[in-house]
Amino acid sequence: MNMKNFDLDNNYKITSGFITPENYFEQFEAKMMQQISTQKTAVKEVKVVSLFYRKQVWISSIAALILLAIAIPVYFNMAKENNIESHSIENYLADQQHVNENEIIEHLSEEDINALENSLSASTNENDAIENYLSESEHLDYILNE
Amino acid sequence: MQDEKIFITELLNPNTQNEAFKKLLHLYQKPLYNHVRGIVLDHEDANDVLQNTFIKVHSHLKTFKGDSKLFSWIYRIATNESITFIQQRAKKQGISNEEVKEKALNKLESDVYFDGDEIQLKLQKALALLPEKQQLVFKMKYFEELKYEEISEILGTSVGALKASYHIAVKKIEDFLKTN
Repeated sequence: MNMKNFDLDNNYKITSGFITPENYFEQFEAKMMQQISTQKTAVKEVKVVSLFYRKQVWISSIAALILLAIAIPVYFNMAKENNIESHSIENYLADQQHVNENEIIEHLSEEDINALENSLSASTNENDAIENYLSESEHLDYILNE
Repeated sequence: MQDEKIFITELLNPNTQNEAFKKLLHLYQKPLYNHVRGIVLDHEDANDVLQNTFIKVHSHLKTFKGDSKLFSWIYRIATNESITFIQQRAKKQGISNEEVKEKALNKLESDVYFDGDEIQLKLQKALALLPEKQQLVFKMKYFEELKYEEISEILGTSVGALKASYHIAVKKIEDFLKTN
């Protein structure tokens, strides 16, 4: 064959050279028919996850992200505000240390005063207890001498 | 077209499905084998891709809308399956698509299912140097002897663009064969 004047369309046709094993197509056909009948039964059992379901998952995850994106800054801002509040309370309390007795007395109600008196007044029972304690004490002499 | 509609209803009807699919296999297995083999080159690989193609055709028949001809729809599936096959192999081996094709080409010489002499092997080597689309157009026109209108339907490219692609491919191949 003269390669110098090579013309694909007008020279003799070059075949692809591809060949198949003997009876390949007969066997292929039989194999395919068998595969398709088993596929048919298999298809019925396969659970189909629709595209819509996947879309739903995407939508929910995006929604969750947006929610987090909003919630996180809001949470931290609120936490900051709380800090400022407790800080100013501390400052306030520190500044108010010069509260004097008179001011406290002014704010005491009748009930408060009664309660205070009750807790402060030593009952007769308590006096006996002190006496008993003192008489039983080994160091009584020492205390009396003082 | 009317016949094709009847054929498709037969393919979908559970009572006639098996017979109709057998007919489809008869009609398409040989031309599709040549089409797939032209892309993947190795016989065993072509066998795998052809099986996947028919399984896909079978399971997607329900969604076949009839916008295009059954013929071009099936060819399109076969073309996509062949290209996907090469891409998957490339990914698996961590090499490029071109390297996968080069390997297949080097194997061809010793392939027992390749009955080619020097000129056929040279033609395959010349083809491998062309861009993918030009390769496809050349193989479909020259080896598979499809009409431009049919190739146009399969690849979704205009007839004019296909003619241009084919002539560029022929010119490049002739140049390669003259100089090598």
